[in-house]
Amino acid sequence: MISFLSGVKDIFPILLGVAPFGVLYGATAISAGLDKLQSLLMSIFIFAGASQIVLLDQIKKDTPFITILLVMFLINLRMALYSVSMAQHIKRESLITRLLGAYLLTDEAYAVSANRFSDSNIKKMPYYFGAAVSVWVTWQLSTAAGVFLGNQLPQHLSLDFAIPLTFLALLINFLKKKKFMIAAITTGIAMVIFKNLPYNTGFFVAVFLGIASAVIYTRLKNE
Amino acid sequence: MNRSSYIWVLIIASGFITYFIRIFFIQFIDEEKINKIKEYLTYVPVTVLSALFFSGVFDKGLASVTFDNVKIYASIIAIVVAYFFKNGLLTIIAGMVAFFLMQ
Repeated sequence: MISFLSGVKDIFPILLGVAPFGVLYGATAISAGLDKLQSLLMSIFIFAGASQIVLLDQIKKDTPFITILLVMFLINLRMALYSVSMAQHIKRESLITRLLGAYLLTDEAYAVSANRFSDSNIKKMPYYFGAAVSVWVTWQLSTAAGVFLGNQLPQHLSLDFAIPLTFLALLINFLKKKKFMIAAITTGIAMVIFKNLPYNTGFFVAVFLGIASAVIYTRLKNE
Repeated sequence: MNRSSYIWVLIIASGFITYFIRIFFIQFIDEEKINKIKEYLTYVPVTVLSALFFSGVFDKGLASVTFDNVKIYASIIAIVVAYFFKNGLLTIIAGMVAFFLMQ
């Protein structure tokens, strides 16, 4: 219990950053034409902020079904890195702990836990669940607040542009390193050039070129 | 299928994909296997986010590179705010306010 509570306590400052994004997601979902139930249940089914806003973006653009699923797969791939790193701590736990632990995995819960798992005074799983459940509760409550707010907004006040701005906001943390900056700029330019390729293939071309540019840059730098 | 059912299908399918990635790598992949592709994986989020950002600002591709596209000006303001304040929420608010004022 003590470990659970210290997980809650450590994640608390981060929750203050999570809540506004939940509100923004909820309001944007309503503005994008989803009904209340869809907006709320998306937060339960998907429970990943960036992915949910990406899905809204794709729904608005009427992207083909398969392309949407591929984009969702890509945006979530970063969680593979967290999962692999969590695996060593959670692999020997019960099945239900693993299933639930995976569901609750977020950038925030991972970041806080990865920091404290080396601390021998902490019981790992209760600590992780303290942090992860706090994120879950915050996300659901703030989504509900956003859905409520979205219903109050006047019709003509479109929140469309909030979606790309959210992607920019999520990019900020990456741009401290030059290789990420190069990847982002190459991708951006390529995206504008190849935007009109059929079936949104321009998106995948841009991502591929962005990754390639960063890899080439790091190779050249190391020689 | 009507639009509402289609959105439900998308929400549920995306939920499955998201959960699949969370559980698959915890359960079936170990660190050694992933080390080979780890370098490439680290660039996925930044490139995906950048592609989505740019495709929102330049929604018609090269045809959106015009002086009339107020999203470009609003984005520049948002990027400046992002650079100086390193705060996501402030960036979004700055961009939205700039966008509404210029429209």
